[in-house]
Amino acid sequence: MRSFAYANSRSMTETLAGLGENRRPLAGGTDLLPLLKSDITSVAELVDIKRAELPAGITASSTGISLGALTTLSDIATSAVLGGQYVLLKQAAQQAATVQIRNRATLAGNLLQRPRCWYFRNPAANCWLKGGDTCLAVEGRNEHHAVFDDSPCKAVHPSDLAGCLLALEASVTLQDAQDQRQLPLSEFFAAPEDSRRCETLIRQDELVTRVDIPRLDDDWRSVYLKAMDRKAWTFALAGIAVVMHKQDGRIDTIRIVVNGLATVPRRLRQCEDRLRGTSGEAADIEASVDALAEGAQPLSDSGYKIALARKLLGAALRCVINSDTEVERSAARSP
Amino acid sequence: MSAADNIAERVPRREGRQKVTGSARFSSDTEMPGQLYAGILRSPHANARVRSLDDSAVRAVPGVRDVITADDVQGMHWYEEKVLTFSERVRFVGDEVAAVVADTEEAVQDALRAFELEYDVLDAVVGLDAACAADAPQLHDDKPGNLAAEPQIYERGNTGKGFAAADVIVEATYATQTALHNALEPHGCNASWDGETLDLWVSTQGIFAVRKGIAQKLGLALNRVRVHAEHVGGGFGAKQVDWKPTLIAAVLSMRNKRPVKLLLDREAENLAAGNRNATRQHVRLGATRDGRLCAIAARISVDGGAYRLGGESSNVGGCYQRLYACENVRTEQRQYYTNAGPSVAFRAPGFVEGTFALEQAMDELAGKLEMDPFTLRERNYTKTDQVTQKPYSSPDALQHCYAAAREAFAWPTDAAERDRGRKRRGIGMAASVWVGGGLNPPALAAVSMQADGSVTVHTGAQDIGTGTRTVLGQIAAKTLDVALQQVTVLLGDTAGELYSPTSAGSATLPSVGPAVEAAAAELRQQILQHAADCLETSAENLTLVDGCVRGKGDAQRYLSLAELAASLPAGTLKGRSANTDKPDDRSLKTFAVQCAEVEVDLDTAEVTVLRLVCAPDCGAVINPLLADSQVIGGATQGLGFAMSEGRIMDRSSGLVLNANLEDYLVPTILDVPPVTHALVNLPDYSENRLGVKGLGEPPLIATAPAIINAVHDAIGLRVRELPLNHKKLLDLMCQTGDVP
Amino acid sequence: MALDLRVNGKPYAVNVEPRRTLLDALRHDCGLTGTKKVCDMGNCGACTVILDGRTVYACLVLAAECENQSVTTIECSDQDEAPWLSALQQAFIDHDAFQCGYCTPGQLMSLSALFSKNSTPDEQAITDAVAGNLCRCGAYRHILKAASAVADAERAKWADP
Repeated sequence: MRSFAYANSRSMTETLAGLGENRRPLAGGTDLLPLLKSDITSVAELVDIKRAELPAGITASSTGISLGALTTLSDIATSAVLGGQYVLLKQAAQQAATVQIRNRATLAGNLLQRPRCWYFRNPAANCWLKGGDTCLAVEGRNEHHAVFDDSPCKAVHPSDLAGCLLALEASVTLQDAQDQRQLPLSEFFAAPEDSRRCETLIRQDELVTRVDIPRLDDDWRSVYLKAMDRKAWTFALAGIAVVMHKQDGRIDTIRIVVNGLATVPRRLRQCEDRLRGTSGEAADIEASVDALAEGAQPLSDSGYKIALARKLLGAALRCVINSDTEVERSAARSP
Repeated sequence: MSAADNIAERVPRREGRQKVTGSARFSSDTEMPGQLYAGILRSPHANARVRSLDDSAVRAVPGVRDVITADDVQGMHWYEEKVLTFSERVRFVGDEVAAVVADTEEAVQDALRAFELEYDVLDAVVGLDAACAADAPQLHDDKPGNLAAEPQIYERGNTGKGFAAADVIVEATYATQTALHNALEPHGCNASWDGETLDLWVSTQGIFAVRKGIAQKLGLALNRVRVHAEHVGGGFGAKQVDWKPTLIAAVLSMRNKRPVKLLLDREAENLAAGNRNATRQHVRLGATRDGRLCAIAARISVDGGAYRLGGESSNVGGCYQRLYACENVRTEQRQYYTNAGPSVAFRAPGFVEGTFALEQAMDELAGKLEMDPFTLRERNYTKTDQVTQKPYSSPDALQHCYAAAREAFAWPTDAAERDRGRKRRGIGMAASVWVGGGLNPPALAAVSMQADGSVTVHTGAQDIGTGTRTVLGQIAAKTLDVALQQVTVLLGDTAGELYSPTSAGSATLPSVGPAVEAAAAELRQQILQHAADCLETSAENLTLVDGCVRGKGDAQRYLSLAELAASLPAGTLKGRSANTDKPDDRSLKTFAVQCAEVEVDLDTAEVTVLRLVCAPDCGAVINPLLADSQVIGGATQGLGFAMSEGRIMDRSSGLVLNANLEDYLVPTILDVPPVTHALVNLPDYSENRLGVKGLGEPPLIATAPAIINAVHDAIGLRVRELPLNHKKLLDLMCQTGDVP
Repeated sequence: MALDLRVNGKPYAVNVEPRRTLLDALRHDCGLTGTKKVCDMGNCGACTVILDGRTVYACLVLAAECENQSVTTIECSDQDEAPWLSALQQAFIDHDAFQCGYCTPGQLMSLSALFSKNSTPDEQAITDAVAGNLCRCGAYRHILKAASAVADAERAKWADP
């Protein structure tokens, strides 16, 4: 790591003063420190915000669930609040990384973490996301990369929770020295473009302070399934988050998000459309699965992810629609 | 009862206490007064010439003490290609360019960023296809076609006639990946020069090999270089030689007259500290209808990286030549240069790669012949090493392995058990032979008794985690009939000049163990003789029991060892021995048979290994507890090789994209199922009277083909390229229209 | 910067650059080399220590972040701070739950923290607790056996006589 200064902030005001490119917040550090160590990011000063009066913890109210920015992944993985209809968040947190990372990593940091793309993370590779001319994965090794073409960058967003929160139609609250704003995750995550080589709309003078999830009734169901090339401790090759509600035996609302197939978590509306209004018979599930690849443009070696996501989607749908408990078990790990 | 039966005991590791409390001193833990830290500047290009190097900014970094570049280390050559320590031509990403030494590790990092370099970047050769291409850039001027050496061609009989006589032929191409050792303790060295002697604390499998290499390169007498390796954080083949960092640390220490520590970071470890070479193998087997092999042919290409390191070679053809009785065998092996770090021995080099292909081909053949895979293999059993025409020293060992594995696994499982709807179960097996496991002479040992009756075993071996310290202590303790806790084992230091071979080729126990046993036996004789003198009787009337000299058949205590030792001048009681004779009338090899059960979830394309059984032949087992660890550990590494490990390189730039433990996927505890060590324990007295052979390598060799054969049994798809990750499985499923 | 660290119940006054990790501070400035540096990127678990009761990778924590917090490492001999460590250490020895021993301190820290929360963990709880600790020698099955033995002994203590 290059040399930097360290400040321990005790309040929001203190934290937000002068926050910017050279003065950046440090919370869990599980992504920021590796970025600094690999010389992908540099910073003049780190402001430790762990004691800066930021909201932490998970609270339920009549309007929904609120998660403080400093809530750790361990807090989510072990939360008593996040059962039932919100269980996919626990499943995602439990399948993310390891106990040691989850103890340290915060929810805000998880949403803001940068891609794990091996070109982006390699200081010797001048990739598009770091200001280079082209995405090196396109002509290079891309088996871990996108199958949907939504950006010049073909890296995929690494967060498991992000897709789940998107499926829950959550929003983030962003605070700068003067003001705060709330953005739905569907807007907060935005495929990188030439003028903004970043996966979110956060400005460098802002902090994420909390994430809010609109309330779901107890009869909603959800699941998160993740595929990894090792039984634990890898980022998702593909992940499927499903949130569903049935009314009178018919699916009236269903939201499906896929992780690992695009630069940001991707809502699969075409798959939702095939199920909405149906009772979720095998044929309906099949039709939904068949819609997954619509619009996909896999790279030379990422095409298998479509087959993989199709399988996960089928299993996830059977789980929420038919209460397939075996699938549910495979999604749950002890926290 | 054999000597080994007398010794065999399930005792815990001698250094266990140190290892669980953090007090075990690894070379990387050493810290000396005045300690300086060093780092290496490495090439970011796979193939380039250094046009200019400016280190003026480096020298200005606060804390920097010294910089060395090509001119400072002239005349020191590396690899069989004899390149310089810092060459103006770099041939892989991570090739060494310069080094710095500074007061702190942070200053080293700042310094490495301050170098200003200009490179002329050349086209890189990445992978075997690129190396063999007609228009491939040539890595070494004197090596046309990037052929690293003359092709190794082995032939016996006439494969043309053999295949003509075959009723059934199977033929396919298999590929194995580049695997990275990733021993957790990195390569590195703490070097301290006091003006006369160079002390090196190195993480190494061969303290004497390192001493020889470094002394030679620095022009120092051997007795002026002392290598220490008290505890070694794993090696697996990659720490057999004096790698560049050791020399660089030594040079910097001598120039700055301060101790210099140079440890590789994980990226450098995975770029420039060895790897298991990738292979491509075109395999053809011919057999008669009743399953007798009439011909075996294998055409093998090996991706050896940019340089040849020497040492244990990757003999991919070896298993084809030896595992089965067959009159007509031809193997051709060609090693190619590519712009990648040099390959080096990795736990059963060559045999892991070759056996993956051969044992899948055998499985395919068994399928075609509708024959049980065990039956097919046993039908082609040989008691002779067909390469040397000598009988195997344990001609029945493999037969014992087949029987032990089959029984422990309960092969075959009930077919009805295997189909669980969308979860398919399958079973697979594979056999292996390994050329190591015997004596690598010479090996020296001394066993002495101190004035208080305590015992010291002294050898120049090193314990890389295999349990050498424990087993040598056991051998001495039993020979002298004292408690193991009373024995101290000194190893990992060249100072005693008790030469031991490098811990490689599963040779440590069969080389050093017998030397310790003989030295302890000599000491025992001295003890009895002195006791006889004291007691005015004859040594034949005395024996050692439980730390005392007693009269034979007489329970009455005569003399404690402490009493006896205290009565003699210091240094009197000392046995020495050398294990030097390697008989050559028999061929000593080690064997193993493994079985695997897997489950493939067709709904998620998830493959789960449910259990593994490994029945290795290692001669007599001295410590079943530690043997279990070796076997389980080997199978665990084999599982990683089968399922998830593999270096990934950018095909145009030659960047290694997963030179880390994030994307290079070593198994976690959740990946490893129950592993049963089916004990074979068949003493082999051909080389030593303990009946021991080595166990380091055999447990890994047949794991991957056993797993992959089980996957085939489960879903009918044949995975011919490793590792079997989601991409491979799904691509195969898509090619074949999925699995019903 | 001057820092007051508290490691294994003992105070350490160190003077480090802000960029120094807890791992480097432990190894260099406190002289506690039991905690191992393997990947320095949070990918291996060899540097696992307990920070205020929770396991973390010491390579992903700055020393500066640890002021006024309690750090527990493999060198801890304080029964109150790591009540399960000595039983786990003995079980590791008895069941040969290591070979080279380089990952061992990290494995033991993860298990020590687990047992402090749950003294009778089942197989899944044990394996999840050390899933973030790589062992290249492949001692996992013996690690599981060792930890299970400690849990079984604790269960037996509470079982009806």
